[in-house]
Amino acid sequence: MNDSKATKKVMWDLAQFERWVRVGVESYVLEDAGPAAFPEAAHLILRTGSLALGLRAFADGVNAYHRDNLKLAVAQVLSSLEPQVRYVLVAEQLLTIAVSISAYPVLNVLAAKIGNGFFGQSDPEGRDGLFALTLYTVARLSTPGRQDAKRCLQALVGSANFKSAHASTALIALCQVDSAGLVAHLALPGLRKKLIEQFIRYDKDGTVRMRVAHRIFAIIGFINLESALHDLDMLSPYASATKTSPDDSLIDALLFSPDSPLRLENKGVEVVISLRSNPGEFIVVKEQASKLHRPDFTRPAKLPVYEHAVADMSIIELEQEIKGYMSNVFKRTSHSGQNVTL
Amino acid sequence: MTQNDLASYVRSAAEQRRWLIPRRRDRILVARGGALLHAIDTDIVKLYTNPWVVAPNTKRRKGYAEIFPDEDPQIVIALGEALAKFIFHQLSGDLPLVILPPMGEEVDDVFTAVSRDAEQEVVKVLEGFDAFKGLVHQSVSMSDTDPAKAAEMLAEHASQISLFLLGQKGANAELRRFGLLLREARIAPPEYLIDNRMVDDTVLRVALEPPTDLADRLRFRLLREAWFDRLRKKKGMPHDTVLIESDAQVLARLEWINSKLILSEAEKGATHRVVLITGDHAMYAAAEEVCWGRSEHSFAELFLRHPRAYLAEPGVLAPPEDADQMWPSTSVDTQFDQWLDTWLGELNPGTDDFGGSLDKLLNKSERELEEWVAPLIHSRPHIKAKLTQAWSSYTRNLVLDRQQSSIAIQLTTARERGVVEEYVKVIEQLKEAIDTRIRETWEDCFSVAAEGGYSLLSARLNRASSTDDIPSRTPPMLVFDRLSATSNFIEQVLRGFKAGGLTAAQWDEALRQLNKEDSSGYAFFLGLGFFFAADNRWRVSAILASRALAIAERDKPERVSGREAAFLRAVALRHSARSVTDLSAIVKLLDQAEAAYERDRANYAPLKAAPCRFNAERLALFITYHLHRTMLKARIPDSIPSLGSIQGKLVEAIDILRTSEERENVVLSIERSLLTSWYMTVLLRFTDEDMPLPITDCAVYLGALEDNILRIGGGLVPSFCVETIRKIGTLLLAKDQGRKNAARKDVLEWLSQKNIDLHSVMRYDAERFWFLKKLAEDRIL
Repeated sequence: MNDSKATKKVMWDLAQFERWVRVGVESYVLEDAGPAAFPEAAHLILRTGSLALGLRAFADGVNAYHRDNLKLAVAQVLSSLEPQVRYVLVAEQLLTIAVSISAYPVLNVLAAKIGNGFFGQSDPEGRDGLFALTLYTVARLSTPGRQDAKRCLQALVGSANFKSAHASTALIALCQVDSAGLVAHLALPGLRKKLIEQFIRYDKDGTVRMRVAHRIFAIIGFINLESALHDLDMLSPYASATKTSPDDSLIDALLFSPDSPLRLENKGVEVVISLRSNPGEFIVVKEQASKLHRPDFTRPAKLPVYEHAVADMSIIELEQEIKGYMSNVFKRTSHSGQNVTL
Repeated sequence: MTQNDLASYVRSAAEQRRWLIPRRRDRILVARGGALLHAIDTDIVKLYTNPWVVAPNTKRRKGYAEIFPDEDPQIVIALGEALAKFIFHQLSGDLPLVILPPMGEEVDDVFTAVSRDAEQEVVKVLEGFDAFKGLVHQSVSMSDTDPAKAAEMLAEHASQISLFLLGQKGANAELRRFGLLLREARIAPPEYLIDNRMVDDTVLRVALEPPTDLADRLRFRLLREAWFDRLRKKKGMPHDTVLIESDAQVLARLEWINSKLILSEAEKGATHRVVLITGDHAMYAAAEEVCWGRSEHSFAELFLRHPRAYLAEPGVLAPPEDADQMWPSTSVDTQFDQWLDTWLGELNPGTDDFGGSLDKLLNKSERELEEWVAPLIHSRPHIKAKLTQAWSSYTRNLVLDRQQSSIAIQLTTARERGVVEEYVKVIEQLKEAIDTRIRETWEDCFSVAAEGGYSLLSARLNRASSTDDIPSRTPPMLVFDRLSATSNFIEQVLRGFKAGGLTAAQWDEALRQLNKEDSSGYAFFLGLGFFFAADNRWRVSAILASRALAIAERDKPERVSGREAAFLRAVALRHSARSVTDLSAIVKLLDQAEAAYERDRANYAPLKAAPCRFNAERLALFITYHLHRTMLKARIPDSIPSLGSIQGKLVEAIDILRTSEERENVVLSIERSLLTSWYMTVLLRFTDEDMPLPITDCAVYLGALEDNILRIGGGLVPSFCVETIRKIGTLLLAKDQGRKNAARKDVLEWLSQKNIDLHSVMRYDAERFWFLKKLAEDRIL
């Protein structure tokens, strides 16, 4: 019996699909009902050995109208989950199903449900992974040019639950949707800052950076990369090891590490970026008027003199210092307390 | 004289002679019409500010001014000072010395460390003085004290205090030297020279420009990578990579500039060079291995100069009296060069390749060199004496500048004589002398900070937007009822910020007036604290306010109750708090300010000192607590009133203010703070407690805020934070869609990432601005 025969009797409306998905996933996850949770797809779940793959086979077997209803139903169930810890596992399962059956409608509910809501928060009750899984889901649904995926990613990046650990996944997904938009993606509020944080704080050995560099280059290619380089905030002549430009760690991973996908060569008149694995594939960096803002030095701006000296002292140290000072001052025995005016 | 002895003198002389060679080439270049620009490394700044550490040899490195073995340490330090003075004040005439990025940052770090040490030194000296005073009194009053032991301890304290008062060594002395360098703008980044038209030559100007377009930045990066690899090999892996990267960037920039200069030399014929003065051993080692184009010289020989290269320059050493006849100076060889050549020539006759023979000599091992000089001990028995005599003649004028104040001399005498009673005589004057010293150090730094000389060191990127001149926060309104100079100073600070600042000399004069009016130091530290608050340096402001408060409590000067110091410190601590714990001291300070106000009023009934400020600040403090809670998820004490209760108190305070008889600008400043706080409170309640926005009140208070901004004078421009609230209010109350869209656009543009970065002062500010932006962005308002 092929799958279409198995599922052809299913003639449900959206509400029925929604109930089917809700009851099915809850029984499957919370009551351990196994494939029986989805009676109409049980044989497919059994055969594929996985709920998500079974439901994919099921979706493939119904007609387009019902398939769309099923996809919508997944989105709606996800959106209607009550903010309770027990539903975290249900949400996870729904995300996996969404990827499996390409349920694009979830892209419209994820930002509200997980971006800012209960499910995306990170806490010891097991919700830590859900936001990351959401990003993964969106990334999987992010095909070139898909505006709903782009909007969803942008909203997730701006959401309250977006953490630095999610930055590189979000950037890669954004590049998948819009491979010419690297500069614009990095300019999304908070993304660049969180990406730097992820690289500098949590990626001490540079493996994440390197993976991101390889992925991004594989997605966007030479032409988009070369054009982005002109607008990235990087390689400032004023930068130093401690005060790098914001995009320096990304550019280091792309070009300057022994494991980078690319390498840079100064060929006198031209500067060339080539594949490290195959120097025959390269692009020449275009000569273009500089977009880097060069600070004006005519009028010296006011600058910290003493601030730095105390900036890295904790306020407690500061207090101790001041207390130390205060405890050593002398009390004068006489004073003229008259005429006090300030 | 032993072989070993002579060998080390020969090596020292040869080393020194080798350091002088590149300088000879510089003189030839200048004689041919070329021009030199001098860049300096951080270690040279340290040689200037801290010669007692950098000049002598240490176990780990060679001293920058220890030329011959067994030198008198005082001579070594004095020579270090003389070399540094020559480099900074004479070598490049009116042109500042160039500091190549990111060395400015390194100097900045050094400065940071020095100023912190200076602060600690002050604390130590004051503690020492406290103990010293106690001991003196104890020794005089109690007969059972062991006189010998007391004298010994007293001498120890006295020596520490004398050293501090002498102001020649130690962190405070270093800080003052820094102040001097920065004040005279003796170091500046290359762009400063271009922008201030200090270099006329087009070729030089173009070469000094930083690489800004992409291809150039990439090329520059490749140069930096190459220098990094070379330096890492020389310095070894455990060495701090941050420092290696900095050095690599400096050498890359030096190479970048000189490549451009040499490239255009062929076309235009002008000969310019930029040389880096440094004593960094690894830099030399790395640069010596780099061949430069077709030149027979290495990169090090061409573009690096050791500070000792300037030993023969006028004013550093005194020429021996008979030098003119023995070594008539030529245009390229100094008398000192010739003297060394002659002396070394006696050892090593018969070679034309001078540089080569020096290298050969220096490459000899200790043992080889000893064997090599052995015959000379018999053939020329006076050779070493001849050198040391001439050298002491060269160094005869080098003495450390020691100008002891009379009080320090009295202290030293008392210490030497060990008589306790003599200490008693000086003790009161001593306290004053210490206070003066502390104040002098601050004075020097302050004028530099105020004028902005320090900013010459590092580039401030992204400072071109129109909001750059808007203060992130405005300083608190301080009220001085009778101290007119102090009032003037405050006004000057406020005006100075608007008009582009005063010069260091003008600031000096303003400070002089402050000191004249109130000699206790209270007004001085308070004025400075206010300045730093106006400049949004709240931590510094808090330290200075605390110093003023300490003077008020310790010395109880006339006309001073400490009211304003307690208030300023409260405001400064609130602005600089990194966590909720940091806020805990503030309530007490506000209580203190209020109590002082009550005392002041008891003494002088007509006093107008705007006590409502304290209440407004208290309410602002409560909101700060709630912002820590909502924006940073911090736990706050139960004693903090709820947002609802704060809102009620703010309304009351605004009403009370309307009938206030205080001066107009004081009332307006407090009103502005209350209105902003009220708006922030309702917005927080809106999101945190789901309380609907009180639209009618919002309209009334927005009107009041706009009116306030229009009416206020005296240099109090609205801060970024106040403007943000005003714009949010405008958006909230926009009557139709068109105006709403325009207001929304205005808020979104105003709250750009750059502005948020630039104007975030409090720990939670960035989060708060993002929160406000989101309200606008998500069309919640």
